[in-house]
Amino acid sequence: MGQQYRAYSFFTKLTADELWKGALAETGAGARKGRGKRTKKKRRKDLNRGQVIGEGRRGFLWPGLNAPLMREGAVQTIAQRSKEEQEKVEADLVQQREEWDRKRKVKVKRERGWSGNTWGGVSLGPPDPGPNGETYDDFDTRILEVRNVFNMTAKEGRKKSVRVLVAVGNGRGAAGFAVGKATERVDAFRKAKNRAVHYLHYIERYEDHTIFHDISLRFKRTHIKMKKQPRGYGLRCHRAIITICRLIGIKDMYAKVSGSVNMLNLTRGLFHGLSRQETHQQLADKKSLHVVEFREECGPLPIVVASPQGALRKDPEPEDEVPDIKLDWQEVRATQGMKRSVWSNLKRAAT
Amino acid sequence: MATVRASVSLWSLLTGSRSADRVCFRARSRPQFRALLQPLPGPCGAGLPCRRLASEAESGSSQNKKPTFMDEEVQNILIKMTGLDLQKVFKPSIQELKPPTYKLMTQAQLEEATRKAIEAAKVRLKMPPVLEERAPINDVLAEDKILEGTETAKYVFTDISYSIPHRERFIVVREPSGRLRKASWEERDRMIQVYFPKEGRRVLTPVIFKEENLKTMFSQDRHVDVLNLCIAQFEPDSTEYIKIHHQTYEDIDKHGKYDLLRSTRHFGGMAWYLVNKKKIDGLLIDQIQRDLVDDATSLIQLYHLLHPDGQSAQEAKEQAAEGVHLIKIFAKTEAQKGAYIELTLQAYQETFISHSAAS
Repeated sequence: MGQQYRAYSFFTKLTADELWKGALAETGAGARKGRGKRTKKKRRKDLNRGQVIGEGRRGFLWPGLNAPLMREGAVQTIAQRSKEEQEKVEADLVQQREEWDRKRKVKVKRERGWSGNTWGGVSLGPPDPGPNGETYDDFDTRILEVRNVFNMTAKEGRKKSVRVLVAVGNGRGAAGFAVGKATERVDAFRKAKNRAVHYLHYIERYEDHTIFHDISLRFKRTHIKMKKQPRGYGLRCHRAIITICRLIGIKDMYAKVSGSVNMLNLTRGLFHGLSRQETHQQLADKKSLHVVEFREECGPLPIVVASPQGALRKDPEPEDEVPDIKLDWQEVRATQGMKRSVWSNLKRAAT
Repeated sequence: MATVRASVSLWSLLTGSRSADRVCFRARSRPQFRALLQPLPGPCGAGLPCRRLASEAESGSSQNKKPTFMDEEVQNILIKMTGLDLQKVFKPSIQELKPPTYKLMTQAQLEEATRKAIEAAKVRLKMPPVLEERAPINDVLAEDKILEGTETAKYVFTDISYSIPHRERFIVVREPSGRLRKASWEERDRMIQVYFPKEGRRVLTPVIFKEENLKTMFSQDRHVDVLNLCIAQFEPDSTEYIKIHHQTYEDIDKHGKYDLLRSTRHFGGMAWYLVNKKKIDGLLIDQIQRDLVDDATSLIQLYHLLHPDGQSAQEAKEQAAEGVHLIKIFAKTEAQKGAYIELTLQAYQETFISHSAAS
């Protein structure tokens, strides 16, 4: 039985857009309020791709349409292809259309972040260039959190919005973070990325690989304790802190997050603590004494790291026999051997 | 010369009588030595032939004899030449890193800390002893032919009492032929390392001391590491220790890499070796090129101490030369590369004059 062919039917009375609108059913009660299933989504395909005005089943060659108009100055006449040629042309077209379909179906593998399905730790590339032509090519952006937040509206009820927390940094001390919110995920990424470049912090690093001194801070309900480590130690911290430190350019540090692990507060607290570091030069100027470093591997050799710019004080810093510092109970327990934890001294991948 | 030969035989006799500890040897054997020495014709009636053992107390009597490595003036000269570069002495060693500690100090405290560091550096730069090669032990205690054929392996008997100095320990070997003999020096060192292990010393000689591997180390400029490993592994009077040290010094002299050993504890030993072999030209040129003319003059003074009968020593004494003049005399008389030394000296003097004119 041959294929049915009607020259004039329902399908020829409507435009391609109207037909597709009906077939895809994007608007409808099922699509609203997040009820649409991901597998039921159909993709629109342009059926006229590869079609040339003039090509037909009989294979006529119309000069000006599917054959060249002039040949050696003379206008050509209407001709017809042979049966074999016509079959070949049709087979070629079919093959080309199949190849286009195959290319469409290919799924691009998304770069894996902290784990398979999360957007945390995924890179978004450099931020877009600014209005005055400034480029941010050396900045890299990393997503820290993607969250679907809902807002109750009068008309639709629950309205979904995507909230993205993103950090940018150039690996040389300049870094910043920002939140972007939009209905679509891609728009939220773009908004956050471009906003983050406007809120940069410069963070001082000691010898470009670690912080100057141990920092323990509490931001809202998030406690962060950061320790300075020598070269080669790596970043043994919370995965978000590792991402941010890589963007800043810190290569060796230990950090412990206790209490709340809310990503926003964690980032805010981290930047708060790192920007308020006291460099060795500032410490020397404040106390008007030499800041001298003693390293285990160098023996008793004193290395002067910073000298006060103003006058040098003659009286030494008063030192008590028992230093008057606040001890951390968890640290004391760890050093005394009272802590039984499977997570301490766990062998992990480097950095 | 006769005295030296006599002392060699005396040395083996005394090791035979198991009194080989350095301190005890000196204290106990001096009367024996003197008693045995009297019938022999010695060049001088007093004390020991020098360059024997650590004999700090002999400096008074050695003025007529050759100065030893451990003499005060020799040590002073060598310490001065070694220099004291704190950054090089306390170079970061390869170990598990810990975060550094910081202290706030006044200028006075800083100077105190630097002084303590200098003292620690001086302890680190203490020179290892330079001794003569030990004579091999060939002492048979018993020949029991009755035991021949009973065993198939040698048996080594070691006295492992804790409070005996290692040099006085009894270590004997019973061979399958029934012979009971004293263990040789290599066997002794191995056994003592097995029962009383010393840190950094392996029982069997490490592969790094083979010729090819030493060559690789030298090509990588790691002479200091070679010498440190050698000191850890061998005794100061063993054949391998002396051989490796001499090889290292020869290689340094050949390539002129004297600066590798400066501010280490091996510089004194190297300078002593070169002065005894009369090969100080390269070292002199290196010192003048680095503007260490005082060190150059002290090196030549050491040379004159050790070879007082040489031409340069005699001329220097006649002219009572000082400083640069002394170097010039040496360059003219006994140096092999005298022309080079004079050229470098000239260049140094020109730069010196231009500097002093500019400033």
